[in-house]
Amino acid sequence: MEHTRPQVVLLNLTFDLSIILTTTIAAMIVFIIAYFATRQLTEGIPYKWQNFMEWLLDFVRDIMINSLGQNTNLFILSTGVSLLMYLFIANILGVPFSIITSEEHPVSWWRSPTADAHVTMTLAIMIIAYTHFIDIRLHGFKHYFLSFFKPFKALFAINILEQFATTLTLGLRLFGNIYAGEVMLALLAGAVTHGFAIASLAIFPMLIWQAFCVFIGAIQAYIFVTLTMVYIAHRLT
Amino acid sequence: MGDITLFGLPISLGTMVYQALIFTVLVFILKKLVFKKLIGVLDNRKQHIENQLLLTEQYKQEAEKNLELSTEVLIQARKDAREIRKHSEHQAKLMILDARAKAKDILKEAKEESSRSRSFLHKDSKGA
Repeated sequence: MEHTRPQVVLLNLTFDLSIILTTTIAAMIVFIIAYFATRQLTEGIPYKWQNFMEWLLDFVRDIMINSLGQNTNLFILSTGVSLLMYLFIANILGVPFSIITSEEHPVSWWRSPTADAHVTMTLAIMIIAYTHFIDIRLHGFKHYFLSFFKPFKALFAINILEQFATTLTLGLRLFGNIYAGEVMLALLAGAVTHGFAIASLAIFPMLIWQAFCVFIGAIQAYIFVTLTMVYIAHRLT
Repeated sequence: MGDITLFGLPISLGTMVYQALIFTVLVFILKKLVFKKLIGVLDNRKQHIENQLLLTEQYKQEAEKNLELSTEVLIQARKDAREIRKHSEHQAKLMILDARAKAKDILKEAKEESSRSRSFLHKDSKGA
């Protein structure tokens, strides 16, 4: 079961090639779906794919309105929809199969990119950084700085800790759910090596677990977007 | 292997930088190419539907008004018809009475005439 990651060092930075591969493919799938679904837009009765995109947009807009109130910020909305689509695709990329080369050092090439803490933590850090940016731009640096001392000065340490905690939980919640799903899938798939009888026994739980992984992928994407909106709303007021 | 270690965990910064980059690019491309248009279409449709609803309300009120008007006209027409009928029935009764009286007169006259002509005949036959 031990496998390493295909890492290369470039410009003193380490790149994980499998994550670069899968995130790029996930982003491309999202772009292709979103772009081709809205190529011929009509203001009349929408056809199938346009309807799908409109439903997605309305879905995220509802989440947004629930936490932000009536806000028509296009950037936040597009961030939400992109996040939802990207995370869902990334969460289910590893569900149908995984690719691990079998040399003397097995290398894992294909799995859900969100089953790696680098990806989820990067997204979480970006989201939290964006909320801080909003606060500074909206209320000025002084208000932002003072907000750490509210409601009273003694809570400064807790406020700082809260920012780290939200970042960490936002990223690790997603990572943990998807990673656990992948581990379980890998265990079930490993049953193939133990003979026909055990492999056929593992088929049914494998199917159920795959369906569950898709479900978890959707739920976690939804939770991530909802929390993003909540954190942004927290900064707007 | 990693660029830095945090609490003993290796962290590859390159992966994170690439991840941040690709997601930012994705968001901006989608915002520019997809969501701007889609929001425009949704808002336009919303406006259109609102207009249609307003128009429907207006038409509904007009229709109600028209219905009221036509009901009034109908009631008036019924009333008129009833009056005309009453009037004509009255007229007809008068005419019938008149006709009866005239018929009586005519009958009487005819009777008188016949009796007169009979007596004349009688006299004539006596005379002959």
